[in-house]
Amino acid sequence: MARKRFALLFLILIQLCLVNTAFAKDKVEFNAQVRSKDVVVGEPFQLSYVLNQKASDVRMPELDGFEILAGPSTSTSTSVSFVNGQKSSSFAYTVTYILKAKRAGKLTIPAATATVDGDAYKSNALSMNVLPQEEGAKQQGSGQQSAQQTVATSQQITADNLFLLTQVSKTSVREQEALMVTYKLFYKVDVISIDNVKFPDLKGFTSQEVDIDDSRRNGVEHYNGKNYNTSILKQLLVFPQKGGKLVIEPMKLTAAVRVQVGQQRSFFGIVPVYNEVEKALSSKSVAVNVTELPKPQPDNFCNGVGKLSMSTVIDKTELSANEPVTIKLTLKGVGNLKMIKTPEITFPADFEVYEPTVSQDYRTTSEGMSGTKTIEYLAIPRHAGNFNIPGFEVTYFDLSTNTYKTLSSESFDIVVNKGSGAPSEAAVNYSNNQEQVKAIATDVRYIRTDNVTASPRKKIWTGSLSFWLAYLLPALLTLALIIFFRKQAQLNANVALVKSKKANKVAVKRLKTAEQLLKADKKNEFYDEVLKTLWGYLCDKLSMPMADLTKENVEAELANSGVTADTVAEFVKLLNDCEYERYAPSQNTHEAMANIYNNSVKVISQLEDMIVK
Amino acid sequence: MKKVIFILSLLVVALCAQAETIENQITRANELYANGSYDEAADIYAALLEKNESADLYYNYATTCYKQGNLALAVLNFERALRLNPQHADAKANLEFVNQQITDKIEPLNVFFITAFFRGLGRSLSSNTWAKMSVVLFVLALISLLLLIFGKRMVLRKVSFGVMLFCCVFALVSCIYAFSQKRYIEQRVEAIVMDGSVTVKSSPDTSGTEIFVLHEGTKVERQDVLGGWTKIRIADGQVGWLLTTTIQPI
Repeated sequence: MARKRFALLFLILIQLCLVNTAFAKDKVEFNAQVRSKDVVVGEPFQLSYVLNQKASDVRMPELDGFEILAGPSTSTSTSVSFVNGQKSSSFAYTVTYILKAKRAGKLTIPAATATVDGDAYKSNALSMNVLPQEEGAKQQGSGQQSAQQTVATSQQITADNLFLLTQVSKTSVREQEALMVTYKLFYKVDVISIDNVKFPDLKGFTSQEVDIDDSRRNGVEHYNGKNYNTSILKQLLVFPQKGGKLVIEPMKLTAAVRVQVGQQRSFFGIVPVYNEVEKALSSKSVAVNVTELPKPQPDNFCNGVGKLSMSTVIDKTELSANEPVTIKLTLKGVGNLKMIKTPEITFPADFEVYEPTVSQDYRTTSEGMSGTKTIEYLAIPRHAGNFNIPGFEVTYFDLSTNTYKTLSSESFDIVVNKGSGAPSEAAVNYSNNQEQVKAIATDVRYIRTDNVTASPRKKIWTGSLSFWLAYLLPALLTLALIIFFRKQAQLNANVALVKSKKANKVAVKRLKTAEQLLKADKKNEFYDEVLKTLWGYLCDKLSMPMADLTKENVEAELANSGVTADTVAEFVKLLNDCEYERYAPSQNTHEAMANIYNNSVKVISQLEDMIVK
Repeated sequence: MKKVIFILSLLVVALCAQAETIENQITRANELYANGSYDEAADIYAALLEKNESADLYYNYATTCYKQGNLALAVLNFERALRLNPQHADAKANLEFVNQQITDKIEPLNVFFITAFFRGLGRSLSSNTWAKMSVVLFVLALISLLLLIFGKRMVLRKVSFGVMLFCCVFALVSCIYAFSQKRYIEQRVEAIVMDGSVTVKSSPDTSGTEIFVLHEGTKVERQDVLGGWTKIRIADGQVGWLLTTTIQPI
């Protein structure tokens, strides 16, 4: 029996060890906790350090502005639960202090230290919002108020203990400079519910609602010498869109408040009687002075106001055709990040450019959105080559210096190699690879630069005198030609006449000297000349040397040349007459000479007609 | 004799010097244009155009006006360049380009296609070119007449008869076109609206009903002038009166 008991005890011990080791395996959690981070000066409050394991030495840090009223007191709690056969257990080791704040303001309770299994751990630090004491409460002393209640509730609804307030973080801002607008309910009464909440339209602003987590929603605030419970109804980050005095209109709501109207004696004793009272509330309007941004605004102003920095990264500078390239542009800073226009990157025209993707990662702070805006530009080069993506500039308005500042990016040189497609494939697709020449932009054609001259203004030639002459002269010329040719034709028609005329001409020409001698009445010379001319004429006509011609063979030669016998006889007679007359003393010499001359002309004319050469 | 030679040589030198300056000025203006100093370039072109003219000069001036942003002047001077040389390809292209940017878009009236063809044919060459063509055709007709009369072979005479008929007809047509072009240019029928916005009235009177509004760069056809008012007709056939000062004849 004793042996059995011993075994059982042993088993329990083992189990305990296992449980302990199980705990030891968990991560040590060490948290500092307070019920509310809002405390009033002189009011005691409880600070607990909670560990999930037993610690040997929990040490408070050096406290500044706080006084320890009581503590430390330690307590442990263990809970074990089985859910669907799964066992889970938790263990809490709590060290509690009662503290009192000595002065108002934002105070910090630094981290405490603890030792678990020889290792040192640190808790979180707590930042406390210490409110000053209420003016009325100062005389009463802190002890009078119930502990852990920072705001004394009142049973009277007055404008002092229940009101709405529109708070702005700044009342004088630049255009596009962020400011925080907070609608808050201040109350010192028991507010059960609120209803009919109406927020105004914010004219002239763009707004971004700020998420309020529950820890921040309700708090305690010191306002006009009194401490109030506050509830943030809505918080907005707003950006004025124009200059001038912008007014934030009042907000309205109806609050249901529980007020004690009296006491009632009942079975349980004296019980307070409450009544619900509805109260319509309205905040006051708030004016914000907005200064316009200095003019003129730079061309590449991106709408950003605040403090920004820019970085650009390209994922690769050497790639193959049809492979995407990404440029990542990161704008980092504080300001109206959401409103910033996406800067345009001019990719080479041969690139297929996709719509840039914009991702934003920011927190809303009272200064504006703080964080980064990342813009990714994706482009696909379709052809090989060396390309340059020029740098670009983004200008924003810097609030710290009140000037426009320009951020510039570097330019990128990209080498695009030929795609890795198989050559055969490329050959097959060759005919399909042709593209239309794309018009990137249109512009007027360039001015003419070669041989541009100008001349004084001229009248139009059409209808001028020279224009009409240009018709008239050729017409007249043609007419003249027609008349001339006509006459020529008529002459041609009478061939014989023409011919004899011609022959006569020749004869007259040849006998020119003879004619002169005739006129001079020189007998001997005249006959010599006529003879000479006749013989010369024959020589020319028959193409015979003078020596070969005699009176005897002339007849035969002339007959051979187709001259009629009459003419030959006449010619021979003429020759004889000449010789005769020359030596014969004639009475009527002049008459004989004229006769010879006329005969000569006639004969030569006849010969001219007959001798065809 | 020596004096005469001296005066003549002086005249020749002066003429050369003037021609030189015109070309130099054009070169200088072209350089200014290349450097983007459009205002100075336009001033030089405009000054030259006061007394001289050439299609290229009008073209350069118009292009500069466009670069300055003055659409109306650009249209006016492209039209003038084309008036001098209807075949100026650059001026045609730029006029078309600038006409796409002016405010008014007028659907032209549908003209019977044969009429449109003959009108277009007439506009495609300048008056002087038509005149020269007419003279040349006339001379050809005369030559073929001579051949017809004095030609010895039958074939030649038949051919020359055909040629003569052909040349006669076309010489006449060319002559008609030459005079029609001359009338068209000398009367300066067409004009460009120079003011930014012009209200066209139903009567030559400020109190007239406003019919429609024209904007700078629009081409109108002048029909009549009365006082300070001009009766105009736009491409879609609408007619109205506007102040003569608001338009500039081409």
